[in-house]
Amino acid sequence: MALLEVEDLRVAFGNSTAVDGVSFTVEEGKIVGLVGESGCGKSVTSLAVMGLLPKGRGPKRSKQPVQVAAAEPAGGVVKAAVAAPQAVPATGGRSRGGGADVSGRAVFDGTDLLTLTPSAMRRRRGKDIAMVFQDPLSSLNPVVPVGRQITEVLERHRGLKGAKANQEAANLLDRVGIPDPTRRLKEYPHQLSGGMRQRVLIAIAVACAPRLLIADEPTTALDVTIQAQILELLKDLVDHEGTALLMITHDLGVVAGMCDSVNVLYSGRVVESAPVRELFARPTHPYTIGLLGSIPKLDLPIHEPLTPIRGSIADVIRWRDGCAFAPRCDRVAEACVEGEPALVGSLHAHRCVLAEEIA
Amino acid sequence: MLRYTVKRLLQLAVALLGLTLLLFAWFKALPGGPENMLLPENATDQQREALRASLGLDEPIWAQYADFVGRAVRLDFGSSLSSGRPIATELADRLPATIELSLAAMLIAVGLGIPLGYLAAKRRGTWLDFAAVSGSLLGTCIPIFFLAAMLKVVFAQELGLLPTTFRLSAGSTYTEVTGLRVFDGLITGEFDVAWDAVVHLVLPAIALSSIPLAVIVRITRASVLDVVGEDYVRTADAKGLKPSVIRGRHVMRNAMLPIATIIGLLLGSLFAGAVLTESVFSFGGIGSFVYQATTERDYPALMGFILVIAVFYVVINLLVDLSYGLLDPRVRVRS
Amino acid sequence: MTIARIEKLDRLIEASVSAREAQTGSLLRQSLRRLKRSPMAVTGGVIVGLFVVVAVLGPFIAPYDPTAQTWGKEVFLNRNIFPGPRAENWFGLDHLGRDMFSRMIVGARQTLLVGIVATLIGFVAGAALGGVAAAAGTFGGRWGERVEAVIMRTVDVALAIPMLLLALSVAALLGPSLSTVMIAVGVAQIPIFARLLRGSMLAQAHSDYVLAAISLGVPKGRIVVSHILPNSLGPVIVQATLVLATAIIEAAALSYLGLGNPDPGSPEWGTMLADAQRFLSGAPQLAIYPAVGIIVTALGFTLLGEAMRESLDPRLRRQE
Repeated sequence: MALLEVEDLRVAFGNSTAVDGVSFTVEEGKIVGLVGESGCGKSVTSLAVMGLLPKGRGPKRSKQPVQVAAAEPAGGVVKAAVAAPQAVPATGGRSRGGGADVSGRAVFDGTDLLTLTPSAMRRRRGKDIAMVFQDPLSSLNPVVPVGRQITEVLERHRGLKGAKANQEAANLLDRVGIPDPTRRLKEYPHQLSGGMRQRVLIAIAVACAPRLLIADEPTTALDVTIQAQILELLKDLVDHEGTALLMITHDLGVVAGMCDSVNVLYSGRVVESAPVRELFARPTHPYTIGLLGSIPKLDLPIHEPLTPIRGSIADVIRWRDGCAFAPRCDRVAEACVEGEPALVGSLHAHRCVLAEEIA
Repeated sequence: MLRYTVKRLLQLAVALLGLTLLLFAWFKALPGGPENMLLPENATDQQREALRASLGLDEPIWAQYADFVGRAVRLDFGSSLSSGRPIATELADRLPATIELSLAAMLIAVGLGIPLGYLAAKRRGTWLDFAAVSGSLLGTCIPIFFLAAMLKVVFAQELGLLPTTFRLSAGSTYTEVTGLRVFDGLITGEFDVAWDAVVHLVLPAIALSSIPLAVIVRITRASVLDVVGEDYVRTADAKGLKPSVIRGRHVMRNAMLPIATIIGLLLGSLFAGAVLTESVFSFGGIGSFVYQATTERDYPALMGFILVIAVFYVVINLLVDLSYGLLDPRVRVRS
Repeated sequence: MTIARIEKLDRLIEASVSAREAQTGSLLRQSLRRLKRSPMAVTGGVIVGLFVVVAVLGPFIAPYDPTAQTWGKEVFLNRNIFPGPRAENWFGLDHLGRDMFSRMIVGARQTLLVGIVATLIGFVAGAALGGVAAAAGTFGGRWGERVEAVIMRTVDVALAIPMLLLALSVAALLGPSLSTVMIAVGVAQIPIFARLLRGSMLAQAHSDYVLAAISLGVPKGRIVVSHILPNSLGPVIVQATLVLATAIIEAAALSYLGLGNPDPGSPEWGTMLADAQRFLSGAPQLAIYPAVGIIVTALGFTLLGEAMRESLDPRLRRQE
């Protein structure tokens, strides 16, 4: 059984839907990628699983979540009761206004996390599931020494206090590769370099040996050389501890180097999902193909232009009207806007009505 | 930290020097010049000449200024025109009362304002938030002397719950140590005096606290709303910490930074507000003295008061800036 | 591609994009639209509007001459008891037997005048100081920097004196009168306006479009006058609205301290409130009418100012 099984996860902020029926699994000890442009809903997905989204007021109208079974006929029109325009979701779930309405299931180790009470969820967060965030400077409290920011989680979940907690915090810093850890414990985040801050965040996340680690763009804010070190560190920790890692990124290079399997997200839905080698060898959805085409490759001739995906993620149509990617797709056809495309296939699944032709 | 302190002290010196310049210019510009204020209206020309000479008004202007600063440094502000006593003595006698009143008002404002502002932020959009925000807007719009007078009429005169005037009941004996009577009563064991002083403090302190309370509620609310949206609070949440720990260590410790600055600024303006409150309750502090000085055009007394209060204000803000360094490690290290 | 398909795609995109488009528009128009939707702004606007109407029409709609005294057995000065509200005098009579309702209506004008004149003094003088400091510091070379330093250090020192004290010292120079109150309150606001405009202008001076104008060789004077200044005025105007509230309250305080109009013949709320303190226990209504007038008016300007600030401030906007 999978460690984490996310099923038909939906997140709406008021009238705008950020995550629109996402399903994926993370197996024990595996590294799973969640890939897409900013605004595709990947961060919101992770925050929903962590229970970190601000609580919403619940659905305004009583509604039955639109079931997007994999068996849905490709051309079938689903009459959705929800009038949820596919608007641009708040990046990273940082919407300050009304909270998020979350539905679906996120089963972790046999428990649906979405049904847990806030205090039951708090007992698991940081202990069983931990998270590493994108911007290490803003993610650390500026007025508390980093040591305290590590020991507080040891105190909370492992009952360590005082000198014992400090010793363990130093061990953790040492393990994430920070030299002179006892001195660093007393320093404040602004005194550390960007790479060290991210190492501190990782130390905090692995402090209680979680079974699942979620890393939300852990290297985006860092220099390229540091990026490689941080990725190496994450991979090393995962390999040694048997921790599963959900890697959220927009960088297919990171995915290729680290992940076992990948889910490509577009506009709040998984558009393609496959083991990593399979995806890179036989990308099926035009969006995935586009993402791969916009990466510079060393083996291409120097003057070969990159092929960017035209438009931006703001140019979408609602999934229930057709494929949300259609406005940006080079291969778009009549069938693409004839209602909702379904996710087809199991090991290598895709959501494209033209997949046969493309393959 | 040391360099920072030294730099701030230098700035303080410059500010005080500038202040004496402004005050000197003000003093010279007073209608008819200083001699008019120091002499009775029917003074003869000889008296005027004598006074001008004794005040050094015949000296060149820079010498007069030097003399002015010299006397200000020695706290020699001359004598009050209305009481005839040295102004420095008058101020020193009355300062403890004003300090006690201001501290009491600030205690109310901070003790009530921070929790209220926090709750308003936490329950944003609820009736509590609405009440806190509109109450604090209203609080800044009530003339403080009117509020003081209404409190006095309702709670002291009509309901008779609290005393109307003065700092202690008539005829009570009291051992003076610091002049802060609640404090003195507690340390000398005269608990009845301390209680009596508290009872006399209640109404003036409430009146005086209205504006700082309103300001603190709003700044706390805004500051908490700002901090709650910060990434590090989300990190704290992701650690599964208890809500009380998140509130104290992560939200409030950061939210306190702007609140501390505002409290410093408010303390200075409290002394000014005390002028109005004390006069309503005949509180016998520096404020009553100034009220008298203003109504009787006792300019030397006014000048002494302004100088003392401005020094207080500047020094308090220096202390706040330094304590800011303690609250915010980023300031501490950068300097 | 069939034409039908393209059209359908266009229509679908249009439907999902139109919602977003509704949120854009010029910054000013956005601010105005938000203002109209803000209950704070609407409440404040209604209060201020009413106040201004009364202030303008005051003498024409007042039922009695606000200075006419009705002596006789009705007004017992020595016993502090005055006729309260009744059919012919809605708000009763004051201690000199004058109709309070008429005094309130006519007094609105003076009160508004005190607020406006005081604010204008602070605004004009403060903006001049701050503007000159910012312009000199940015474009005036070494001498300009010195000018800026002198102005801003003076302003800092003045800021170190609590506002009421600053007003007190000015009032002491000029002797008691209503113009003293206006000047005193206005002068006390100068440092705030100076600081605000300078800060706002410096922020603009370092913005990209000013940099672009400089590199295009636009004369510096023109950059300041036609680019930096107009774009910096927003926060200053907001502050002016808030200061109007403060000015009305501070003016009342100065009147209370005996620095206001020594001859309270022509009515003004602050003076009326200060005067009424003597009769507070016997006839609290004499204080309550002008006090409520001042509080509500100040609240109106505050609400309007705060709502304007919120609608201009993108950081606050995000929170709403």
